Formats: sequence, structure tokens, C-alpha cells
Amino acid sequence: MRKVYVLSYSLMTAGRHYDKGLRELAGKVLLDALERSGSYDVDMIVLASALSDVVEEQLLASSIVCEYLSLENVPNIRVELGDASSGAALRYAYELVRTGAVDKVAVICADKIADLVSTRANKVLSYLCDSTYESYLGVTQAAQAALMTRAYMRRFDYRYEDIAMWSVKMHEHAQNNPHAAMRRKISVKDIMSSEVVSDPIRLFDTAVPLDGASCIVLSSEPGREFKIVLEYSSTACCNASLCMRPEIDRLYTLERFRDLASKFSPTLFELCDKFSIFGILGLEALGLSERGKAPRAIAEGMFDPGSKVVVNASGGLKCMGYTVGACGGYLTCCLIMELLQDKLNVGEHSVGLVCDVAGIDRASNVLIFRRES
Amino acid sequence: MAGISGWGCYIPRYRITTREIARVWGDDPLRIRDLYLIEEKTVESYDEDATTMAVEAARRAIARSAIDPEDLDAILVGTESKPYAVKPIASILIDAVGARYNIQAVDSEFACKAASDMMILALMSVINGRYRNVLVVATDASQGEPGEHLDYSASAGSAAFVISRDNTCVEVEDFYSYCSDTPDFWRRECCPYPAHGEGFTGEPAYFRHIVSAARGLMEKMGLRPDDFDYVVLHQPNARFPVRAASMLGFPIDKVKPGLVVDRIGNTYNASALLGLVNVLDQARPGSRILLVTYGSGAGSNAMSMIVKDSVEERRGRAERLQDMLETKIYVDYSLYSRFRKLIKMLQ
Amino acid sequence: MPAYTVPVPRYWRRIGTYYRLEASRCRNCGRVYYPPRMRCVCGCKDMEKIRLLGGKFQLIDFTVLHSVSEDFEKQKPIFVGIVEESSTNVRIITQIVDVADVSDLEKSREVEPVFRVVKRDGNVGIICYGTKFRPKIVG
Repeated sequence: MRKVYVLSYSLMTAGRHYDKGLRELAGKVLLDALERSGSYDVDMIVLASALSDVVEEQLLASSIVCEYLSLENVPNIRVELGDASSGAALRYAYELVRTGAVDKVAVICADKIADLVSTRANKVLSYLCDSTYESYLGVTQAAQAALMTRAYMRRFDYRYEDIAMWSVKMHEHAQNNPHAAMRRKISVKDIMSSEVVSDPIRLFDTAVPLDGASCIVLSSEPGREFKIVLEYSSTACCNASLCMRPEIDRLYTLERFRDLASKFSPTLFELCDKFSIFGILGLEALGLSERGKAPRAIAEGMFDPGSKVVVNASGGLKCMGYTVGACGGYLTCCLIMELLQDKLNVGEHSVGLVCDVAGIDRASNVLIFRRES
Repeated sequence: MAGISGWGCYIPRYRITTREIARVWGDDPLRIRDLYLIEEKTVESYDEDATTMAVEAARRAIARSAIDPEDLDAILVGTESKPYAVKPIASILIDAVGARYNIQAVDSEFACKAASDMMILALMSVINGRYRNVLVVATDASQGEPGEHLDYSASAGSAAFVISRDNTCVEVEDFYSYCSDTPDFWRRECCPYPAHGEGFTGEPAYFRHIVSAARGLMEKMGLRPDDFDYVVLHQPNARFPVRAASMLGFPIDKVKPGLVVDRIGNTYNASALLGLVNVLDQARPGSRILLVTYGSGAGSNAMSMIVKDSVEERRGRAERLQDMLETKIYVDYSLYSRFRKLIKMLQ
Repeated sequence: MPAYTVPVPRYWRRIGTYYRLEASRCRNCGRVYYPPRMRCVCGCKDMEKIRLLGGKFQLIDFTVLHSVSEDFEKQKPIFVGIVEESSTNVRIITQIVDVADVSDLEKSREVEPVFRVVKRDGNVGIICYGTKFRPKIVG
């Protein structure tokens, strides 16, 4: 098996990119990443997008993106695993390079959601639940996250203010991230006075749906500027409805990655925090915090930049935006920037772990990167 | 002899008072109450319609009857507020109650009377031996034009009966019908609200048909008001049935147990039949009941029934109407407008 | 033809599970699934159809969802809850209706299935029905 290197990456700040379609978003980050890789030659394009068909009514979206850049003969494919499409696409690309199937592959993580009005967006995002039996009755991802939050608060006797500290911390972190869509500091009071999304979750405590795109080019050879190895990638699944799980306030898929933490000793983490509870449960599932103790650890600043273990120095999805199928791309690009101390200087770290989560913990992808000198 | 083997009903939990409606439309609430003797009426929730209420009432009737839904041979519905202009409620009931597919199912319309016609047809079909059990459902979520007389009374509710050859708890002794061309109340195709002749709905319409049917039946059977323990009449308001009963010579205490309009409004096809449900929820075995329904247009069906001993063991198999009457959530006219979709929207 | 959006077969084939809460029970280990499964976690493929409709249901937890999806825009906020059928222990995430007040749910935790409209497909399409739950009358 071959080593897999990160050759280049690029990302654009998520936002309401009304003037850009999926091809413009994806085309821009692909172009930038390929230029930074030193050559437009690429063996394969993998497009991570959850919504290209739903929002843009476009199948074969990866081919349309290639056409936009006149990459007329480059093989391409779209990967969809809900809001963990990016991690799944990166893992697929990783396997392609590792096994020698291709030498250089560009993974585009892109989605558009801001074209939709809010109730339509809520409906589309509810497709992350079981459409036939859950979304049919109005159940959304936010409602399920709210149930998880309630269960956790009740079990460990937390107030919502304790949970919302995650968001406060994310906004603190995001102040140093030029790619964060939200960089304004917020207080627990701001969160508590924002509108209720699904009791107890409030608007300022959720990641806002935004359009976004990033691109990561993987190769069997390192580039000239830096040497970052994608050392490991895996996917874990929990193919059962939330209410069928023994405890609804746990991220079972992430728990299966706990051993990786000791095996690879990462000190940098970028975790999916589409809702605060996901960030909190992610810390506990990976063993970064004891069960039931993450809110306290967060409040004490245990995972802030400068600490031994740094989590979501980027500000997380909370501040970079919920870009659906593109979420994992943002987490990955930021982790790479942190390893390189490029714009996101959080101290000296050589191993980092990225993890995105599909739906209500139906799947998660883990990616472990190591900076080589 | 054939009769009822199970009864059930459903009314929405939401209520609006006639006082609240009068407040919005500039009427004197005391005069309104005096006019109709209705305190409050049921309001279907945003996600309820004649079909959903029919299902709930039918399931309770089947539970009381304790028959296997697969033993139903027909499902007959009487309604004047079908959610679909074309597509029957009865077809939805087949799947919702879990009946067989090789049965007869149909919706019928004769203003507020159709469901009682279906009861009579069901009785005849079980008497002649062709069917053993027939589910009859009266269901309506009727609309009156906002601010108009009907807005104070038109409400939502459903009553259901399993009509059986065997295993009955109420025996239907005989029935009698009286119909004529009397346009007292009507609704034209594609018109959302009905129109009516105000005072004309009284003497030549309601009273003439109710009284004629009731007298016709008593004459045919050789019975007098004294022979009945309860009289249950169609109740578009509380004044009409009380007066009709008095015209027929029934004392008020025989009317009261079957009078529910003051607390639920006019549930159209279910109107007299919810009164019957309330009587069956409390009547002593051996009691005789006179039921007279009325449908505008116009016609009445009168039925004489005897309550059997087995009625008592079946009461506890489903909630009583009284329980439903006590479980209520009041809404103001704004929420009422939202639930009834009176606010103009694109769709 | 007038335009409508809900494809009818997609609704029609679910009538058994939507109206009667048809679930699947493993003949080997007895586990019950709603929505039904073709194969049990125990590996057994011998599944029988059962009806949860007549069962006893308890509310496990709920949330008040304000940010609803478009089908429920005119009904917001809606209550989303987890209910458990006591004889099978099967849990369903569903909508709770007829809630007078949030405190109603805190006190009255026994709920009952109710047949309700789930979606009216514009002015032209079909009316989709299904099962929601509501606090049961106590006493």
C-alpha cells in the first residue's frame, strides 16, 4: 500500500452565494487547488455533494463541474453520504491512491442550500432522517438533536446554558479563522435570547445552513511546499433510528474510533458540531472527555488553542456554517491549516483527526493526518 | 332480531364558545345563547377532517362490538363534508380499521340524514341474511359561512355503529321514513358554505318531517310516548329537538340524556347519533329509545330500539362521550380560523 | 392534468404501516421493528406482521419544534416525541397532537394513537393520512 499525501487544498468562506451555482462554487475551489498542486493534470475528480439533485435538480453534477473547467476527459464521480459526504469522498479518494488505482485525485466538497427558503431547507434537511417514517410526520434533524440534548441534560443534570457554552467557545475560536462565516463573539445570554428552533435548542446554538465549497488534492507523491500524510481513514455506521438506540445521548459511531486516539495520538481535532450536543458527545465518544463531563471541560478551556489537545480551533461548523455535504471538507481544510500553522496558528501539532457525522449518528468518517518534516 | 352490536364516537378536543364567536361578529352573546341554547361547539384541529374522525369513531364501535374487523361485510358512510369531492371515506375506512377487501363500501349524502339511511339499509341487509355485520359511520366537519347563523353551530364529530344480525346489544324494533322536496337548506356544487331559508327550516322542514316520521312509526308499531324511555332527535340547536319532543308529547327528562348539541354544536350526520351514543353510554337494559334523524331537503328516519343486557359489558370497551366532553381545549376565533382554514392562503 | 407533487404509489404502499402501525416481529427472538425490517439483528429472516395499533403507549420524551419543514408550516409549533409500545418495547419517533399545554405532557405520559391528516398535497393532490399520538384521557 502506498502513502497518501495532501498535495494541495483550497476553500472559500461559506455564505449565501446567491450569485454562484454548484458549478461555480465547485469549479472555483477545484481550480485553486489544482493550480496550487502545480498542474491541472488529475486522474480523478470526486465530488462530495448531498444536495446537487435536490437543490439544483442535477444528476451527474461531477461531470458538469469538470466541463466548467474544460477537464473534458477526467473521470469523475459524486459521493453522497448525507452531511458526511465529504468524509466519505475523502475516504474513497484515499483508498484509490493508497491501492494504486490512481496517482492524483481531487476531492471537491460542495453544496448549495441557501437557494432554498427556510421551510423548504428544513424539509430538505429532514431527508437526513427516515423520509418515509420520520420526516413524513414532521420529524427533523433539529428535533432529534433536541431530544438528544434533553436526554443528556437530564442524565447529567446540566442546564441548557452549560450546553450552549460549546457555541460560545466556537465563536471565540473562530475569531482567528479567516474562513469562518461567523466571527463575532457571542455570549450565553445572546444564545438564550435567540429564537427557539426545537426546545431546548436555540438558533444561535445551531450551525447555519450556508453554501460552501472546498477542495483537497490527494496524491501518491508529496508536494514541494509541505508534507502532510493522510495516514488513516475509516467509516463507522449505526444504521438504526435514534429512538431504537439504547441511549439516545451518545454518538455510537464515534465511540468506535476511540482506539485510534491512543494508536495515532492526535492532538488536533476537528469535529462535527452541527448542534452543540454533537460537539459535546463527540468529545466524550472519542475519549477526550469523560462521559458526562465534556461541558465542564469545555467551559474550563481544556480544548482551546494553546492547550495540549485542541478541538475545533476553526470555530467548527457552528462558525464556518452548515454546508451539508461539504461540512467535512471545511473541517479537513482547517485541520490541514492548523497542522501547517497556516493562518490558523494554534501551536505545534503533528497529528490531527477529522470526523464528520451523517444525520443523527447514522455514519461518521474519520481521517487522520500527520505532518512530516 | 337485528340491531347494534357496538357503538362509538369521536369529537375533537378543541372547543369554541358561542360567546367568543359573537364577540367577533358583533352579536349579543346572550341573545345568541338564547337563540340556539348552544354554549360551545367542537372545532376540528388543522389535521382533522370527516375522514379522520370517522376512523376514530369506527375503531371504537368495532372495539365495543368485539368483532374482528375482517368480519365486516360492508362499510357505509353518511356525510355531507367529504374531504374529497370524488373519492370515498368508506374506502379509507377499509384500510384504517383493517376490514376485508371483498366487501361493499360507499359514502352517501342526504344532508344530515344519510347515516341513518345507511343504518336502515344495514339493518335490512342483516335481516335478510345477506350480511352479518355492517359498519355504519356518521361523520361531518361541517362549515357555516363565518358570521352567519351556522357559524354558531356547525361543528365536527362522528358516531359509528356496527349493525349485526347476532351478538347485538341494542335491538332495532322497527323504522319509518318520511321525505319530501323541501329546500330548507342546501349547498350548490363548488360552493364552500350552505345557504338556508332561516325560519323556513323550522315548521315546513324540521318539525313537519321529524313529527311525521315519529308519529308514523308510533302509529305503525302501536306505541305511545309513554312506551319510550328516551327520545333522541336531530339537534341543529337545542331549541328544535326540545320543542319537537314536546309537540310529540314527550316530557323533557326523556329528551335530556340524548341532547348533546349544547356542548358540541351541530355535528350534522352525527348530530342525533351522538345523542344516541350518549344514551347508550348510560341507558338501563330494557329501555326503549325513539331515534328520529333529520336531513334537509328534506327527510326524517325514525327508529325504535330496545337496549339489551349486553349493553353494560360493552360500555367499558371504549371511552364514553362524556369523557370526551370533559376533555377539551378552548380556542379563540383566531385559532378557530386557522384550524378551519378560514384564512385565505394560496393553498 | 392539474399538477400535484406527492407520487401516489409512494403513499399507497405505506397504508398498512401508516394507518395500522404494522410492524415486523422476529419469529426467532421476538424483537419487534417499526418501521418493519426484512431481517432481524439476530440474523433471522422469518418475520411476521403484527399491529401495534391496539397497544398501550407511553411518551418517553418530547421536544417542541418551532423551525418546521414546509409541510407543517401552518401548524407550527409541532410536538415531536418518542413513544414506546409497552408489550413490544418498540419505540417510535412521531408527532404528538392535541397538546393543551407543555405541562400536559409532563403529567400525562400515557399517549394514544390517533388517525390524522399528515399532508394535503396542495388543492389538487391527495390527502395523506397517518398515525400521530396524543395524550390519553386519564381516569
